[in-house]
Amino acid sequence: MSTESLFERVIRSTGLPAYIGPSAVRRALSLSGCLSPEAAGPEDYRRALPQLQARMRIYLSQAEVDRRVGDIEASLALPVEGR
Amino acid sequence: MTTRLPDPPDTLDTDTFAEGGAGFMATKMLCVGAELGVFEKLGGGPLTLDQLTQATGLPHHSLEVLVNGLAALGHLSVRDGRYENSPEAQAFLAGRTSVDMRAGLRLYDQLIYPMWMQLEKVIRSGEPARPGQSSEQFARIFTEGVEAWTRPGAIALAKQYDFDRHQRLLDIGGGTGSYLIPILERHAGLRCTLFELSATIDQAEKRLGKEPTRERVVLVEGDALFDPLPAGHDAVLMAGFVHLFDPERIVRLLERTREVVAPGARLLIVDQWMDSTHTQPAFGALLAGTYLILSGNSRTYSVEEAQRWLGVSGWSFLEHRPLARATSVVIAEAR
Repeated sequence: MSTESLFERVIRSTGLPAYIGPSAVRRALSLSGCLSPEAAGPEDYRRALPQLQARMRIYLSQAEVDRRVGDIEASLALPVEGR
Repeated sequence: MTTRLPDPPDTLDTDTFAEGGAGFMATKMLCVGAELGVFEKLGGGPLTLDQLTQATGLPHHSLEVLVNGLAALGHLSVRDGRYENSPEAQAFLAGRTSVDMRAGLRLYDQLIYPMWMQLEKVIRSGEPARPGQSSEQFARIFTEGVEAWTRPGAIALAKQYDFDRHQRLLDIGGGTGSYLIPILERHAGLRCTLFELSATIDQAEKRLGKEPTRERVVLVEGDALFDPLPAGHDAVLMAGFVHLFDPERIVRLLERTREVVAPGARLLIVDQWMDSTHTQPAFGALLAGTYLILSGNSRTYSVEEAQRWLGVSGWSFLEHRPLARATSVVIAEAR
C-alpha cells in the first residue's frame, strides 16, 4: 500500500505545479463543504471534483484536465493509508 | 551518417566542460556545509579540523573532504591548520547577523536541486517536476528560501521607488510578505493587501505577525487567475510572480489586475527581466530552468515581452529599472 496520503495523491494527480496544487485542492474541498482537507475521504474529494476541475482549467488544457480527472478518480478508488 | 570532422585544434580546451559539468559538486559542497552547520560552528572563530570534528559531531575523514572543498571554493580559508569562514560566509551563513541565507541554500539543496534531476523529463514532457516532499514541507522550504533570496531586491525596491505617492498597495503572490516588510518599514503612510494562495497565507500570517507593521497589512486568500482580486488600490506589486506562468496566463493576470484599479494606478512587476535574446543577465537564464521545472511551461521573460503584454492589457509601460543582481522592476501605469 502507498504511504502517500490521499491529499498528496490527489495533488499529484491534478498535474498542477507544486506551488499551486495544494491550494487548489484545499480550496475546492473547502468550497464543497469539507472544512478539514487533511482528513478528507474519497467522498469529500468526489464532491469537490467540479470545483477542482474549474481551477485546473485555468492552468491546463481541457484534454489535460479530462485526463487528470480520470487519474484523480482512479486514485480515489485506491486504498488509503490509515483507513 | 554523421560526417567525421578532423581532430580539434590544440587551442580548444575540454576544461569548459570539465568545470561546467562539475558545477553541481560546488553546489552540493556549499549547501551541505551550510546544512551541517560548518559555517555556524566556525562563526565563533577559526578551528582546527579536530576541533571542528568535535563541534559538529561529524566523522573526521568525511568532514575533512568537505571543508577542504569549501576552502577550495573560497567559502573557507585555511591558515596554520585552522579553518575560518570567508567574510561572506561569516556574514550570511553563520547565523550571527540579521541576514541568514541558509534558508535560501536549503531551498536549492532540498527542493530545487532534486527537482533539477528531473530536467530531462521536464523538457521531454513539458510537465512540471514533482517534489519529493509533502506539500506542507514544500511550502515551508519554498517560502523561507524565496524570502531569503528576494531580500536584496525587496530592500532595493523599497529604497528606490517612491511609494509615498500611493495610499494602498496590492501585493499579488507576495509570499510571506518579503517585499512588503521593507516597503512598509520605509513608507509609514502606506497600507497593503497581500493576496496569496491558501498554502502560503498561513505562513504569511505567522511571518507578518512578528512585524510592527502588521496592522497595516490585510491578508486575502485566493488564486490570482481564478478568484476575485481585491479592489481599491492605487498600486499593485507582482514580485517574483509572473515567471511562474506562460505568456497567455500572464496577459490574463494583467487584464484581471487592470480591471480592479482606476486609471493612473501603478503596476510594479519585479522579476529577472531579460534582454531580447533571453540570455542576459546570465543568472536569469539559469533561473529560467528552475521556473520551467517548477511550472512546466514558464521561464524568465524579456522587457520587450513585458511591454507587449502591458500594451494589450490596459497598461502603459513607463520604465525598466535595475534593483539587485539579476532582479529588476518594470513599472507601468493603468490607462
